[in-house]
Amino acid sequence: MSTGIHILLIEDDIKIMNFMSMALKAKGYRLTTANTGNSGILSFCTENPDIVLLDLGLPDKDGVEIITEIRKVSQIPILIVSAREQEKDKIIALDAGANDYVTKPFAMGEFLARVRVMERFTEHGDLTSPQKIFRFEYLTVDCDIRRIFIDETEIHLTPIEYKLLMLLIVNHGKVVTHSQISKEVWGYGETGDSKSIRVFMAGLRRKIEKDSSHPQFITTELGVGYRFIEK
Amino acid sequence: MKTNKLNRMNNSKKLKFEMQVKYLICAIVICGISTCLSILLYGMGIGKENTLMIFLVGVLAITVLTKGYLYGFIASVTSLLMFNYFFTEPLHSFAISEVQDFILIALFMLASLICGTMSSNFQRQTEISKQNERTAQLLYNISESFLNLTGVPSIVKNGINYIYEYTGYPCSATLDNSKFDIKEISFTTSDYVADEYKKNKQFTLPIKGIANIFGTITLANVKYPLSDENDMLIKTVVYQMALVLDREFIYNERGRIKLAMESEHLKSTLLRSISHDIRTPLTGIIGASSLILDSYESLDGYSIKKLVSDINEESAWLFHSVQNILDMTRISEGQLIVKKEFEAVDDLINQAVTHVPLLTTTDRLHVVMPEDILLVEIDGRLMVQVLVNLLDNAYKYAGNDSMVELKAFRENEYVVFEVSDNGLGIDEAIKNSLFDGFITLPRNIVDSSRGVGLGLTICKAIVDAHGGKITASNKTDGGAVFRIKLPYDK
Repeated sequence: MSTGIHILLIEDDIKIMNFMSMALKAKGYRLTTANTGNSGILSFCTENPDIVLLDLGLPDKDGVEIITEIRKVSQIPILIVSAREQEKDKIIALDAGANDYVTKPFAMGEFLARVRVMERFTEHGDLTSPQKIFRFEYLTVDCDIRRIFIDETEIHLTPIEYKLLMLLIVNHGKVVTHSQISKEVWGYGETGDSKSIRVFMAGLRRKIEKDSSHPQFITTELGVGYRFIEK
Repeated sequence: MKTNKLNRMNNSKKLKFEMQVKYLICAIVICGISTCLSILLYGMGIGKENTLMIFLVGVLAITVLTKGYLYGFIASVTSLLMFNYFFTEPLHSFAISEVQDFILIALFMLASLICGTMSSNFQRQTEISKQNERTAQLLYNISESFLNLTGVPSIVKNGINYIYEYTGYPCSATLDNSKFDIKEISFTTSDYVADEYKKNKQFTLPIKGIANIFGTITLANVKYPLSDENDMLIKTVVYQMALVLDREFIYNERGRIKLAMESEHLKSTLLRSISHDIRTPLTGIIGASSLILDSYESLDGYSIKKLVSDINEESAWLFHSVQNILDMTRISEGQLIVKKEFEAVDDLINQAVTHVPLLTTTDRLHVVMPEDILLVEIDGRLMVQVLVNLLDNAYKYAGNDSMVELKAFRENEYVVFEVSDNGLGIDEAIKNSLFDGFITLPRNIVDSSRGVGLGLTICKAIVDAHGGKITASNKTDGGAVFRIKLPYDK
């Protein structure tokens, strides 16, 4: 699946660009690189990539601006690479339209996994043909009949818990922000009741995880949102 | 009780006039009584020498009842004349024919003068004593009024109001703002108007403490020369004020010095950590990578993999240390911003656990979640750091085979996190100063001690900033336990 996918990498630090390119090429991706924001946008317009990898700390242009400009014309998956650790910057970028993020310094495995998830959101990704039955290890989710099974035992979720689980599963591997959850599950604007989100999420986790202290499926991205693990 | 001195002055003029009239009436009445009484007794056969005594008593009475010896003197003369008129030959005339009568009269004059003078002196002494007592009471009141005041504005206002009340002169105080950190430096009593032209009617005193001049006090519309009483009162108030301001100044200095010392303390802890927590992992990284570079051909695949794994591990420690140092710098500059949000304890634990792979991959971590879903209002990133620091600390110092347990539960109105191990425990010598970042130990155990490095100091700073409490103790069955208590309200 990786072969032939065209990635646009916008990163100003040469060494980091080097090892990212090495790793991505080794996985079979086609690569275009740019080391400034403006040249990155130019490349986006001319090279027509499938995925954009964007560093937030570019010297000439604010990362969020670039995201906004790209989003005006395209729904291309954008993975941001941020050195800034503050959740606020990540949330702003995600709300502006980025799909997921990796925080520097990152391990290669994590980075490549996130890129792989982005493949699903490209035009040719498998998101366009929605699945009916999801199977993750011991967890089976049947969307048609709305039933969930752990091993062979059925478990019962409340309507909200079901919506939460579906939102996470559809986006599995990608982070789902609090505001996304608020909007999709409760239909609120940006600010939902943040307490409820956390309470319901913890409740859902306790129901579907065999050991909620070492969760296999739902991981917490503190201050940002949650992620259903891609296995 | 405290009436304005101006009013008092007006009142006293009126009083004086009334007094004079009273004294006059008193004198006339008593003279009259003495005369009548004498005539009566003379008629009954008492000799004129004795009647003179009655007049003497009258004069003394008048001296006592009236103030000063004016009326006493008038009374003596009047009595004398009465005696002369009614009792000496020739009767009913002011002439004296007998020598003994003349001597009597002279002696009478002398006696009444002496008695009058003495009695008058006595009265004056009593008056002076009373005045002294009043002054002493006033000075005591001034001292006492300053005793319990704190805050420079109230001290200064108290002083200038006292001066105004008792001397009647409008008063203003101007402070030197380099001595105290206050906004207002100028204080005035209600009818003080800064008057440029009448400089010669102003009286200025410096407010001088032991080592500092705090400012000046100025009185306006002053009548020179100042009365002794006023002079003493003003000076007393100013000296008392200076004394109390000295106290305030020294107290503030002490606070500043304490803050500066704490800041120094934090800085030196920071430096020590930079040395230890950065150099150590870097040594590992540089060592391993240079070894691979130099001896690549002669190393087998397994060794290389091990070295690279070490580099990975040390790098993670380095990253973690850098984070700690950054936070520590922010704390010592007073810039640690705690952004509180409601987070689920479940989420905190999950996040913390992902940051200690060394414990989870070697199966040395046991986690106990709270029974119910608990929400705490905290800065998530900071609190996760606290938990990671504690887990890291346990991993490093509890011994290679010990199990580490992370437990969270609700205890009344608190949420409690416990990180415990069944390893070596905490050295009693350093148990109470673990969070100070200032462990002084003999050199040979510095590297292997639990308290070195910023981790625990930061834990305490963050927990304190959340209004919580962190404690460290040894378990009865061996091993250490670190307990964090955070306020929880549903």
